[in-house]
Amino acid sequence: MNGPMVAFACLAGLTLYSAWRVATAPQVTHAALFLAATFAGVAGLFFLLQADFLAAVQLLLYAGAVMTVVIFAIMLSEMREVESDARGWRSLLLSPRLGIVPLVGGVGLAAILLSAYHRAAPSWPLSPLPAAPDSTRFIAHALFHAYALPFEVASVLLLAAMIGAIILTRTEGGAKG
Amino acid sequence: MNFGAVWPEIVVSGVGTLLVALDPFVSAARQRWFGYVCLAGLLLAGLLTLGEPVGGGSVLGGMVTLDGFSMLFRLIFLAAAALVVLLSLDFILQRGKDLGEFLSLLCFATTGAMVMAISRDVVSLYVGLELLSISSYVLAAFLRDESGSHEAGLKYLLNGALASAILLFGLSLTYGLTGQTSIPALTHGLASALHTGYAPVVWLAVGMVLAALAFKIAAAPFHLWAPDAYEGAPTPVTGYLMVVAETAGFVALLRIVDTGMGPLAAHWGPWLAGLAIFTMTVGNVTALWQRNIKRMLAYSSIAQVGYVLVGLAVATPGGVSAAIFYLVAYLFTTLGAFAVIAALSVRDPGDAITDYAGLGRRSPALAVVLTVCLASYVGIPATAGFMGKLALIGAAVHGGMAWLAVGIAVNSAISIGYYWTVARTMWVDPAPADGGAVAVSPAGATSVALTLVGVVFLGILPQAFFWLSHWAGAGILR
Repeated sequence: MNGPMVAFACLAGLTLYSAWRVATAPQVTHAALFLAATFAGVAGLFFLLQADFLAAVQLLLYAGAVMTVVIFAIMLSEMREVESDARGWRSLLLSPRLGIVPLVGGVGLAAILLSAYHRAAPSWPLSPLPAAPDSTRFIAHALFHAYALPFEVASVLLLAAMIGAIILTRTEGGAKG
Repeated sequence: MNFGAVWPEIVVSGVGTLLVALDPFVSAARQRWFGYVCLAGLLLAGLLTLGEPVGGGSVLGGMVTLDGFSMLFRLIFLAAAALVVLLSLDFILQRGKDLGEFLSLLCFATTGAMVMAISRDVVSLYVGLELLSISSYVLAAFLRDESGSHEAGLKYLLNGALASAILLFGLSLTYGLTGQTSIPALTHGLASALHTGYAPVVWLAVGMVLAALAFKIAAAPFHLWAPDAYEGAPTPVTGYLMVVAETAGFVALLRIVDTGMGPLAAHWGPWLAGLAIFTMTVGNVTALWQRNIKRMLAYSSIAQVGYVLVGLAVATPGGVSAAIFYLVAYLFTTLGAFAVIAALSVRDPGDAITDYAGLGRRSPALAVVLTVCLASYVGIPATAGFMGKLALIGAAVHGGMAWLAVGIAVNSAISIGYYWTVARTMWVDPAPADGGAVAVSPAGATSVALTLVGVVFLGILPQAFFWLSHWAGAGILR
C-alpha cells in the first residue's frame, strides 16, 4: 500500500460512509452536514486524480454554495426530523439503513464492477488521459467549444427551474390583480 | 462557434424568456395575447426548421446532427406544443392562473425536447431531457391549490429524478467503457468492450439505460407513477406529457439504444419485446377498470407505448419507421382526445366517464371527434391508429417476431372494452337534467378541428407520412 492508495481508501471510505449517512440520519441538519462531507470527499478524489480545478470547484460550489442553500432551505422549512413510517416487512425490504433491497443492490453493483475490473486487469479498455498541466484552460476550452450547446441549454434549465420554484412557492394574492 | 443550426431552439427558448419578462407588465385581461405570441414563436421555429439544410453531418462540436430524424421530431414537438397552447388558453385563464408563466414553461419544456431530437451526443441529450423534465414537473403541479395537481407534480418529480439518476449511472458506465460521449462512437466502443471481458459491465450499463428510459416513457413495470401524475396534472399538461414527454423518451431510446447500442441489438431486442408485450397487456387490462377518463387514457397511453416498443424491439429499419409513424398517429389521436376533454372541462371540472353521458346530444361535434379518436386508439380502418398498427404488425412479422403481432391484435381486441364504454356513455346514456349545450371557444375549436384532420388524414392518405417516417428513421440503425 503506497501513499496515494491509502489516501484513496480514506477518501472513498469517507465519501461512501457519509453518503450512506445522508440517507439514514434522522435529523435533517445532520443529513445536510454528511452531504457536505460527501462533497468534500469527492473533492479529495478529484485532487488525487490531479484535477485541481474540478476539486476547487467542487469545494467552492458544492461544499460551499450548494450546502449554504440547503441549510437555508432547512431553516425556512418546518422539517427537523424525519421518521420513516414503514414498519414490518416493508421496512425490512426497503429501509435505507439495512434493508434487503438497498443492501443487495449496492453489494451486487459493487461485485459486478469489481469482478469485471479484476478479470480484465491490468488492461482497462481505456488508458487514462494524461493529466493536463493546465486543467483550467482545458476545461474552459471544452465548455466553450465542444460542449458549448449543453452549456447554454443548462443555463436555460436553471432559468426554468428558478421560474418554476417561484411559481410553486410564492403566496397567492401578492400576484397582480 | 456557429449557432446557426439551433435557431429553432433559440427562438422557442427566447419566446419563453420573453413571455415571463413581459408578464408583470400585461394586465390580466390581455393575457390571451401571450398565447398568440407563443403560437407565432412556435410557427417561426417550425419555418426555421424547415429551412435548415438536412445534411446528416455533425455541427456545433459534434453535439448536434441535422438529419431527417432530428428535423421530423423537432416538427413533431413544435406541432404538439402549438396544439397544447391552443387547448390550454381558456383552461388556464378560466382558473385565474397566470398564462404567461404557464406558456413560458411550456416553451422551455419544448426547447428541451427539441434539443434531444437534434443531439448526437449523450451530454446534450441528457441536458435536453432534464430541461424537458424539470419544466414538466412544474407544469404538472401548476394548479397547486388542487391537491391532485400537487400530488401529480411531486410523484412526477420523485420518479423522474430517480430515473435520471439511473440513466446517468448507466451513461457514466458507457463512458467508462468507451471514453466516448458521442453516440456514433458508442456504437463501436460498446461492441469492442463486450469482447474484451467487460460483458457484465456492458449489460449493467445497457440495463440501466433501458430501465431509466422505460421509466420516462412509462412502460410497465416502470409505469406506476404515470396514472397518478397523468390524472392529477392539469388536463392540457396531461396531453403534453403523454405526447411530448413520452415521444422525447422514445427519441432518447432510438438514439441511445437503437443507434448507440445498435450492435448489441440481438441481446436487448428480446428484452424490449418482453417489455412491449407486458406494457401493452398491463395498460389495456388495467384500463378496463377505470372510472375517470384521464386515468383511463393514462392506462391507454401505457398500452400505446407498448405498441410503439414493438417497432423498436424488432430492430429493423421497417420497425423504426413504423414506430415513428405510430408516434405521429399517437400525437394526433391523444391531443384530439385531450382537446375535447379540455374543452369540456373549461367550466365543468368533472373527469368521470359518467360526466360524458349524453354528450352526443349536448355537443355532437365534440362527441364525434372523441369517438374518432377512440376509434383511432382501437385501430378502426380509416383512422391514423389503424395505419400505425398495420405498419407495426408488418414490421413485427418481417422482423421474425410474429408473436408480437399477435400480441398487438389481441390487445386491440381487449381495448375495445373500455373505449366502447366511453362511446356508449356519450351516445346512448341520457344526458343529465342540468346538462345544456357545451360552449367551445374559437381556440379550443381550432385545436379540436386540427387534430381531427390529422387523425383522418393519416388514416386515409398515409403514404406521405410513411415516406417521411421511413426517411427520418433511415439513419437510426446502421
